[in-house]
Amino acid sequence: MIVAARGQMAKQFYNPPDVFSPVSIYSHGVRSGRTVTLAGQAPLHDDGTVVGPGDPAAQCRRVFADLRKTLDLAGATFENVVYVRAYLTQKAVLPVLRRVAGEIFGSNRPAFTPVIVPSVRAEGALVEIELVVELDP
Amino acid sequence: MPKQFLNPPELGVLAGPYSQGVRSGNTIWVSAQAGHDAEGRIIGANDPEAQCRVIFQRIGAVLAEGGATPSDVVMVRGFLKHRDYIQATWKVRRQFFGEHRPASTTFMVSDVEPAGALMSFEVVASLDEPATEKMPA
Repeated sequence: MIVAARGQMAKQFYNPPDVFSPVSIYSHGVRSGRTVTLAGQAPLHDDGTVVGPGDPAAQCRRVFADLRKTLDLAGATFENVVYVRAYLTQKAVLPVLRRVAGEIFGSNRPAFTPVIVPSVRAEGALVEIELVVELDP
Repeated sequence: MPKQFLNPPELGVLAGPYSQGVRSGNTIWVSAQAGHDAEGRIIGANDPEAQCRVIFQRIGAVLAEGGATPSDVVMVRGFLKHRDYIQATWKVRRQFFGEHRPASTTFMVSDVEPAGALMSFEVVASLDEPATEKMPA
């Protein structure tokens, strides 16, 4: 473990090798203290192409699958999530996301903000999700 | 202290696996709130000030459930369908926060949930007192 001044753990950066990054200027997850902040995750294949064009359920599932890989590296699960911010290109994606999220979060009930935007960074993506996680003490 | 799900009954039930707010340690995450009643009916159709007033009433209720007040808020994010609503939100926020000055980002979005909502707001609050629970004497 990397230890910084005053006994605090240094920040940890999480980048699952099998989760696509469009550019190496950011991390998929950063831990500071007990808080892990996850980058907006788009539904992308390993080569960067969009998963399930026009298929919101397939896209939501892929997003959560990739978020799970980042959570794994941080030693966290979806039970540790306290905040979900979802960027959606259409309101119609919201009920689909609700259904898929219901399968993902188990008994956890994180705070949730949907943000409906004209488009997201990955062309063809209908959804992008970022998370805030609090690790167990 | 375990994570607390904040769901004041007067706010109504949120669809999906979500809470109106979550308290983890000294941090409270409040889900995006829109101007509607417990049954999801919009209050103040086409009236940005009326909707914003309801939004901050709801945010205040979630904060109170987590033991916080408006002066504990550190971040406000506003999602507006139209920039013409900004003046109305400033008026309501001035009344809600008084002299308190949290960090803030407002941006325009292509739509807001539920139908008829002109805007939504989320906040993050940070309590000053320690999270450690007092042992009984």
